[in-house]
Amino acid sequence: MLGLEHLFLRRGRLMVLGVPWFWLLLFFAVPFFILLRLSVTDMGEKLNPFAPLIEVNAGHFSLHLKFSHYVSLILDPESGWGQTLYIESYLLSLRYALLTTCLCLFFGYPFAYFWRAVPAMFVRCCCSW
Amino acid sequence: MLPFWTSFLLRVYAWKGLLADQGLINNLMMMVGLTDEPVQMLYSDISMLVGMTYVYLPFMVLPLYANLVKLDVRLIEAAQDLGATPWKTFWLITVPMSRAGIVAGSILVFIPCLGEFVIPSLLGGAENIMIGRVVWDEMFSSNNWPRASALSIVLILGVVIPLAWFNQRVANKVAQEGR
Repeated sequence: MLGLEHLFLRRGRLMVLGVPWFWLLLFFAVPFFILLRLSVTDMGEKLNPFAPLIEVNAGHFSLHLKFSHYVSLILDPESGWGQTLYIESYLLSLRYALLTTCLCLFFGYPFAYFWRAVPAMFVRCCCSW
Repeated sequence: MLPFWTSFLLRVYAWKGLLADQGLINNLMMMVGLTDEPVQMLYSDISMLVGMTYVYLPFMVLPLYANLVKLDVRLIEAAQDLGATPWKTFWLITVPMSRAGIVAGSILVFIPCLGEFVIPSLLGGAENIMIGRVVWDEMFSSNNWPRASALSIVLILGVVIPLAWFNQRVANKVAQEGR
């Protein structure tokens, strides 16, 4: 009897932990690995982004990995290291995201603070701003 | 919750109408006599920031509110009884007590903002190129899928690694305090 209960408990725990893990795997890990695989493709002359990474040729395995896409993010052929448009837009994104966060905090804090005084029922019914 | 009832895209377009050269705000300002000619607001960093702040404000308010409702009012009263000015009470009691809400809200706003694509491309100007637009351009204009993927991988790692480090630190802290 005890064993059965134990089994149920373990299955329940597995379910509770498994669903979010499955979710993460499906919608984060799988797309991430697809991107990772795409980012090292050698597109070749056909410009095929899904060109095979491993080729079997007469009993020989050959692995085609191309890391120049990563290098091209930080190296510009004309202006040199660290002078690319990509780094610039990364920094720009960082700046705008930080600014937006500060602005949201600045406007959001008074909102949240004064909402505290509004009765909970009111907030639940017509929480609108 | 009301803003969530209308489409996100529609709300961003509404800002376009408000901020345009012949839009509501410019017309109002000219009517009152603040300016003689329309101020360029759309397609600049101002309109982008306005749009992003507007769209992401609920994500900041909700965690903050959830945190602030739990705040013990007696602490504020005690601080005031002991002679603290309202400002001092705010900075010494309210802000430190709601630190978890501030951090949660900031993370919820900062991360989606970093990769935001729609708002910068609708409201932003030609020179405000955020990384989401760069990835889009690489993918669909230059057809360079590997480089677009490399760009997004760098962005993902740039977000995930600091976040994981932060989570670990918080978990360690909780474990230490629990002991």
